[in-house]
Amino acid sequence: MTPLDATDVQLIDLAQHHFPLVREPYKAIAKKLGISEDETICRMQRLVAEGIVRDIGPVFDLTALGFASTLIALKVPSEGVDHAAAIINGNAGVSHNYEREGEYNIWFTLTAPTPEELAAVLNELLNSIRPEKLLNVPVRRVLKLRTNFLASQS
Amino acid sequence: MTSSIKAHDARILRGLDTSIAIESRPFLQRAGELGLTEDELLDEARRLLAEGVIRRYGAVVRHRSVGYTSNVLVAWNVPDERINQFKTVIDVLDEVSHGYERTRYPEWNYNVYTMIHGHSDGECLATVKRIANALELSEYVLLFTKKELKKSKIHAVALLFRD
Repeated sequence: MTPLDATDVQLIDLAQHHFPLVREPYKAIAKKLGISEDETICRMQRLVAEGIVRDIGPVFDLTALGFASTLIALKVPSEGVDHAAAIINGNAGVSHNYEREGEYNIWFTLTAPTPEELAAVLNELLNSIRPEKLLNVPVRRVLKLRTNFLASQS
Repeated sequence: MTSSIKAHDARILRGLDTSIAIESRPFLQRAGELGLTEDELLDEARRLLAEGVIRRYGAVVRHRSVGYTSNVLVAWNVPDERINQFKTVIDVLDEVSHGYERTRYPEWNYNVYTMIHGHSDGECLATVKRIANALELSEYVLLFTKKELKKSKIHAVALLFRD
């Protein structure tokens, strides 16, 4: 992987926080960086190819869209983790699923377009997995939510 | 359709949902597919951003690629009347990306969850200690990852149009 230079870092910051919603966004970014549009596009293509930038698009506020979501923790026997993971991961509303240390060893987030659908999908999952124990811990209040990281922190 | 989203918005969201190509005019083809001009699509995107339906538009960076190699989910027992204090402490810590107050249960007496990042497990633990000391909290549990089973972006629009 090519090390990031100062221009890359500035480019990542601008593209994360101030991506211009205009016809020619890279021309606008290039102007701020003092380089050409072509170089800006080349750099961004390289950052994506190297996996530093995952994609360029919207981060939706699913709550603003009326979606319901929750965090679920399950206690399953260690030999049952793979089976449970396969069932959980098959759901399009699951964004994160981790095997974790502790009594509750599977933790996943589940999102659905309505609270009713969320309850239905969860029931379906639990009927297939039959965990020994379950915690359903929906968010009561967001204290902090940062969906981006400063490249300069590296 | 199952949600309260207007059909018009749903069409725009569907058009914006996936990553744009890295080229000089990345919105041109996308707009055409929706039967809109480039400017119409951009106006809609800016409106959804202003309304908060789109929280942020831009590059999504992989955390690990920018130096963070370790993370830990911590569940805390924070007295209800001190949650605002807790919020203040994590607000200024770059190492904390997410913080939520969640439902507390008698058999699981934790009500606040934070995702903490660092360049090593030791660095994560130091941040945990710093928060615990600042607020004099002694009841918390470190939920280190044993294995990432799934991590993917939710395509909201795909969920809506599943049926």
